[in-house]
Amino acid sequence: MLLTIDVGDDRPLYLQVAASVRRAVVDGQLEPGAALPPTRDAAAALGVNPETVQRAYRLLADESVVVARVGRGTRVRDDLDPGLLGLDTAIDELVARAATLGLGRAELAARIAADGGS
Amino acid sequence: MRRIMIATVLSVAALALALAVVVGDLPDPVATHFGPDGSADGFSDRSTLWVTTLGIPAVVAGLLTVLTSALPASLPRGVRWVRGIPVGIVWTVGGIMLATLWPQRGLSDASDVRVAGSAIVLGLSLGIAATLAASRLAPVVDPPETTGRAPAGLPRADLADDATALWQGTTPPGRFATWLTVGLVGAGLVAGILTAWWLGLVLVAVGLLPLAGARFRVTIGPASVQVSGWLGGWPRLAVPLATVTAARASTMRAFEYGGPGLRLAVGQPITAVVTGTGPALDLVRTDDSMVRISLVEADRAAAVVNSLLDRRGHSARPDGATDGPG
Repeated sequence: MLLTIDVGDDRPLYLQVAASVRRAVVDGQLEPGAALPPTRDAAAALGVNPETVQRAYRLLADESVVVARVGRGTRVRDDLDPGLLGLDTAIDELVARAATLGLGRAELAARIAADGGS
Repeated sequence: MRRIMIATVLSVAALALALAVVVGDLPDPVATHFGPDGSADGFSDRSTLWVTTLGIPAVVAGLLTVLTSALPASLPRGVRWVRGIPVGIVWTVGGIMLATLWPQRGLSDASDVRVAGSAIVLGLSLGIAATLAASRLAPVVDPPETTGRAPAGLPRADLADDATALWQGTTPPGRFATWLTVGLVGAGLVAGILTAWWLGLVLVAVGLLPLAGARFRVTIGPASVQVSGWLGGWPRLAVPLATVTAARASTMRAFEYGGPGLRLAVGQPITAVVTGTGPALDLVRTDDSMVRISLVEADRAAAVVNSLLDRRGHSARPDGATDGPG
């Protein structure tokens, strides 16, 4: 499993860490039930504050991607469907891209519906 | 190593002194073997104690001193305790021997003695403590550091120029070590219930050791490659990337270095973490020593290490870099 952060990336570091974990799950590098690197190890290796990694893991827990258990660390949810996570991630990226073009969610949905009907 | 040798000799001398103090007060014959209930079931002439109590551990420690002195000078961090084993052996065997002899002082008939099973637990504890203490006497030697790139032609991971990466993977599960643990722990539980608690405790403790080598987590970061075992992260091994010149994926056989687990190849500058036959990550160090690690995704790991090596003191990607897996 490869986690990366890029100092040239404008996104906050915790969002990059979270995105990296999502990508690893979607790519099959992190399977459902697999353990994420301990916060301290990940922070030391990536050269960031442990709070940055904790924040990323909390975000992923809020998204129901991972679950944190005392004594077992943070793990990918056993019942997570990597395919659906990949779809959700792609949708988020699509929404973000549409926003840069001035399109709201409703307009984007309308375009998708129109595309689906064509 | 010289300090370890001196410590080994001093340990043997201390054991000889302790034996000299008690031997005159012991019955003749003296009890030298005990059943699970602590009662004596084997006896030897008192004069043979100098061979069994002193000679055997001294010879074993001497052989281990020769073996450990053949290890590479720059062992990876985390496995340097191995150098203290000769001293630990003297204290383990000596501790057990003296703990069984001490209660026999002043007895006219050795068959009256009962020895607590805690003698073995005491000996093992002394041995572990002495091993760790003695290993601190060995000078810490790291290979020279380098900021050079990995050789061209080796695989690289697809990392952005400014990216910092962490890669984590696991070794394949070690079936041999797992079954060995299951067998020893099972035997320990049976022995503990049917015979003596201490025998069960020793078997369970010994049985857990192979489990420590059944599976390892491998973490690669910009600073080092860390390998940590199952039992609370032990055994832990660290290889600073500053001492690595290249990483390659290869294949390693389960018994290539004598068996699964953490292996130190005597006579070869190789430290290996082996869980079975399969893919392995080879880290070549600046002193031409090598660390080999069983790893499911050895090719990915090698690509990440090489990419991280390229970044030491450089920001641009190397010429001819191939786009390895990421």
